[in-house]
Amino acid sequence: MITARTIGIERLRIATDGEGVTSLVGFFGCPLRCQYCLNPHSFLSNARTREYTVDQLIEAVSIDQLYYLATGGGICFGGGEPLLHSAFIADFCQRCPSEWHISLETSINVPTSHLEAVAPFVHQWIIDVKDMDPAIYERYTGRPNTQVLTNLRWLAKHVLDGLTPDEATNAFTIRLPLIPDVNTPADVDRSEQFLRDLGFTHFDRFTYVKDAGAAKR
Amino acid sequence: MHPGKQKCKILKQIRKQIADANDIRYVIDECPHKGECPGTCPKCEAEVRYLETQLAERRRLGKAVAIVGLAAGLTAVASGFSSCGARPNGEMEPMPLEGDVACPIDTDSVATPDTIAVETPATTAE
Repeated sequence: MITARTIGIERLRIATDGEGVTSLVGFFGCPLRCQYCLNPHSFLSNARTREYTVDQLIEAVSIDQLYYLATGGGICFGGGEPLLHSAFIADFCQRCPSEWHISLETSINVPTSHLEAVAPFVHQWIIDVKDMDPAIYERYTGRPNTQVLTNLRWLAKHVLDGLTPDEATNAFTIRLPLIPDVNTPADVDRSEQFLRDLGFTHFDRFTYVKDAGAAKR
Repeated sequence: MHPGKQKCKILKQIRKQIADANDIRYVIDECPHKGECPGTCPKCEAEVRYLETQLAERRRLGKAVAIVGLAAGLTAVASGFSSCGARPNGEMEPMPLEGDVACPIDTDSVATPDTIAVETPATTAE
């Protein structure tokens, strides 16, 4: 029986993870160590987590099924890195009501096999690429972005290709943050152009907010 | 408006749309709560369960049920927690676990259908 550790579930999110009312399922575990990590408890060994079987998770999030159906919403898998739990997600998607909209917030810095496992079930990919410059990426996350590049090309070839422009916009949102002290607007421009050349068209550009009391890791 | 109150208002409207589309009696009454609102509460949860019961009854009677896509096109409302793909600010409480997240359901005080405001001649006349 497949199980997965979660750091939390937030119910009743409205149009923040794509269409409609959604529940965000935050998985434990992340391959990155970003300087301004939002959820460090997603990888800390003493983190408070809860383990679910697929059936238990479906039951837990079904409490808002009426809202999902009425609004075109559903489940957003995040974390941490949800693709580390690709088998669990694939199983979940095959057992949950087919009307639920499934979205994924991911860094895609994982082996391609994880993407292959969930691609048939994911309606919307929300991909945080940080910055496409390898040096900036590694400086910020502590990991190289080689696998991100491989996976972007895989998605472009196996998922994006064949979609209409509207479908492509709905299926992929690429997040391009301007990160204080890490990259510049010109870097973000270059990342966007690189991704446009791969065929991606929908970008969420924003600036990380740095709290006065926040410290880099 | 506080994001929680705004969320509550939107969710109420969704419930109203579901009720109206299925001829279920349901009126929105003003929430008297003035403090922090997570967007839902035991009373709101009970209203959802009431609608589910009514919809199940309609299905049992062989009546058509309309839910899918009734309230599409929502505008985003700020949420308290985010996945790592969102906008970090370096300061964030751990995401609470399911069940004690936004809306703990106090089973002792969950309203029964009798305590839910339903449309009656007296209330509609107000």
